[in-house]
Amino acid sequence: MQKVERKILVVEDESLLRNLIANLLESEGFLVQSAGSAVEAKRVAKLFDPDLALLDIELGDGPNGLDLAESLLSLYPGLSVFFLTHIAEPRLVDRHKKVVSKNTGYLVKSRVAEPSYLVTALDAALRGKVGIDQQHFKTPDHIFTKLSNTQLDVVKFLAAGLTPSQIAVRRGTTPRAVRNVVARAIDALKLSGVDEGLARATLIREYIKVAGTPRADG
Amino acid sequence: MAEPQVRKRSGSRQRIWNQLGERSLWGWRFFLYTIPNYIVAYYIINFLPFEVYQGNWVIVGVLSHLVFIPMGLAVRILVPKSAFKHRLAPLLNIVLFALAGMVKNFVEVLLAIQLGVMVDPRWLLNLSSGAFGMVYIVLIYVAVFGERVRHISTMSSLISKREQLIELRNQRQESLKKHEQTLRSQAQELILPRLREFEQLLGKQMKVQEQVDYLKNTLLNTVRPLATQLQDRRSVQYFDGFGKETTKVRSVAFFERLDLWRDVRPLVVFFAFMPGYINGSILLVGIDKFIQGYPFILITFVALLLVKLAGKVKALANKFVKLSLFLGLPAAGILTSWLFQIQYVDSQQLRLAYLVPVAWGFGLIYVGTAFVTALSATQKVTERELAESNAALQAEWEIYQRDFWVANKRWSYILHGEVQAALTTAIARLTIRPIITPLDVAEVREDMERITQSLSKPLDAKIDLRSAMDDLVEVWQGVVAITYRGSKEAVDLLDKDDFAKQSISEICKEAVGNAYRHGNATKVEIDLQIVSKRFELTITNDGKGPAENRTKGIGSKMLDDLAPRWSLTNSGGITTLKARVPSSALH
Repeated sequence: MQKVERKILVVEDESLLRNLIANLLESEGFLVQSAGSAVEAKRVAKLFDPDLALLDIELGDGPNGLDLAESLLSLYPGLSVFFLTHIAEPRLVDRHKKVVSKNTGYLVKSRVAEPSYLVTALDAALRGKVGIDQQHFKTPDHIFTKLSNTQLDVVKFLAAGLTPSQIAVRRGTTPRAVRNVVARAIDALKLSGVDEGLARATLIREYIKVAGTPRADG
Repeated sequence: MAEPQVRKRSGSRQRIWNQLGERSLWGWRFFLYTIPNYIVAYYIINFLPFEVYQGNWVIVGVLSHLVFIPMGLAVRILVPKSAFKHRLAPLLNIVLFALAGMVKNFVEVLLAIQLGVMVDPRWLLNLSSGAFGMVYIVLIYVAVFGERVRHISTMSSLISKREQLIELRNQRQESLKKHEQTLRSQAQELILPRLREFEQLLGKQMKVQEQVDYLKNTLLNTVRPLATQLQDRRSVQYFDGFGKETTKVRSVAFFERLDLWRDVRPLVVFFAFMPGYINGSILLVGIDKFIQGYPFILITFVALLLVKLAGKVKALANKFVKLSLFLGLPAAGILTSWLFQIQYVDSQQLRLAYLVPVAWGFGLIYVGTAFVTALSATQKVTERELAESNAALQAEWEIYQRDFWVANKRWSYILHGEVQAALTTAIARLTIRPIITPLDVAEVREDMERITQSLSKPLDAKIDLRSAMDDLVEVWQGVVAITYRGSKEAVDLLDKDDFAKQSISEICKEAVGNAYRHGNATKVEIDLQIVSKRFELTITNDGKGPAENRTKGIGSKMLDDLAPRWSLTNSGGITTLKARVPSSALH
């Protein structure tokens, strides 16, 4: 049986890491091309026609990985996209979720050196099945994966220092509904046994640890 | 009931006119202002053998002056406050002040008669001179003091703002340096000891997993919060010490100006003085003699015109000469006219009595109007400078916010990019190989060395904007057609402002991404101009615009920091983002 070449485009502005990932993937039988910037990636993609793009989100001063992903996905709708990131829970960064579609996922950078993790994830994605570990940022190793988007939004506003009434105004709902969302988030994280104030503080602390303090207008 | 018509305030004359209608003029302080006038008058007259008074009549003047206190109280109590808000309030006050002057003089005459110090009361003269005197005094004091107080306040603001500006500029540089230093030392303090600990583990073949765990769990976990918390950093020290009061305010530039001669208003003085002069002259010397003495008016008026003309002669630029002319010519005018006039006055006492109030009243009006005009002129300049200082202060703050954001961004590149990439590479080196060779260890050491170097090098805000824009165009090619242009002035200026270049690049990236993401735009046009000393970016696209025009909202964090003056509008199928990026080269 003829071996089907699986083509991967690696985009990472740090050359050492880029080469390392490229070598690793090549050694696993993928056909790899790499680029150090978004514009270089665009040129390579045109000639290389990749099946999957592995993109770093921050690419220095030029267009970032999210812009590149949108541009590539628009031109090559069948392309699978994986983002490389250091952020443990990218769902906390608003703009990430707008880019992520069915055939996109993300990989935590610190795990790209684990060949089995990387190859399994990319293999699955190439077959149109982004692994649950990578799909929609549902990483099992972070507590916020258990929260819904609504709950996350409310926690973000809490972390920004808003009261339930202020959050209600922002979300076009009632303070009572906001308090219910917070209670459900506390339940989801199994913090309900502790004092409510302490549980709320834990939520906020964890949020800030991962995503920094959000601004009230953001 | 209809609302009372509120007085409009605009322009210097209008302002003085409005001040005349203030209710607060009826406070006790104001009546103190009339005392010098009476003291001077009484002092001079006391040395004249004036035929209408005899004996110690000064006490009469002092006692009658006290009448102002209950009159002031009565006005404050009896006249409704709303009356002082009416546009005719200045007229009301003038009438009331004239009435107060008449009452005061009426009381004075009554007392004088009772005490037997007045030989010839001349009722009408007394009452009318009281009325005219009060109105003049009020007018002059209100104008001069009102303008001066206002001007001092404006000067105070200006000096304070300028000091703030100088301090702010110094502090901006210092604060940014301090901020960068804080970021660097915090990162170094946290990361470098851990790197040294990691060095201890490196090279121990049996402890590879421990090394990997250390890199993952300790080092990466140290770096990650540093990077994510960058957005929280705001300097609170920047505005420290700005509330302090300035002590230089009192030496108002007005007195240094000394070009009052230029501000003499012959017509104003002439017409302001005429009613009192005619009234006094007719009552004192009779209408026939007043008409014969008309040259007084002409001579003084000519003297005023000469002062005015002297102000325009450059050859007389010497301050002493001009001040002499300012004081001397009108004095000469009064003296000459008096010499004309006295031939029609039959007694020596009357001649002197005629000169004193004329000189005093005329002097008050002459100096007062000139002062007010000079103040108004200075005030206009000061107000303009104040507005400029305010704008500069605002720009300074905007530049600071912008530079702060860019500094954080650059530092984020180091932490997110170079440092974390080196750590990840090291993890990969240690994970991939089944056996770690000395070469691998040496490479991991190099990775660690790269981290140390990254944490030590200065932040570099330099960016090739043209290349960044070309990249943006190419990356979006086939999806969104981007065109950009800029005025030569803006492009030239950008070469002097690296932080502005970075800001503009970031805004453009964000705007193009959003236009496609939220509006499915296919065409984006970017235009850069200089407007109001700022770089104005106008980014239009053919996508679906926002539900309503806005200047705040999700995604606006970056714009708030980089270009606080921004707006997003949608009209006729075109969505326009306008953002003004401050320029340090223009401030």
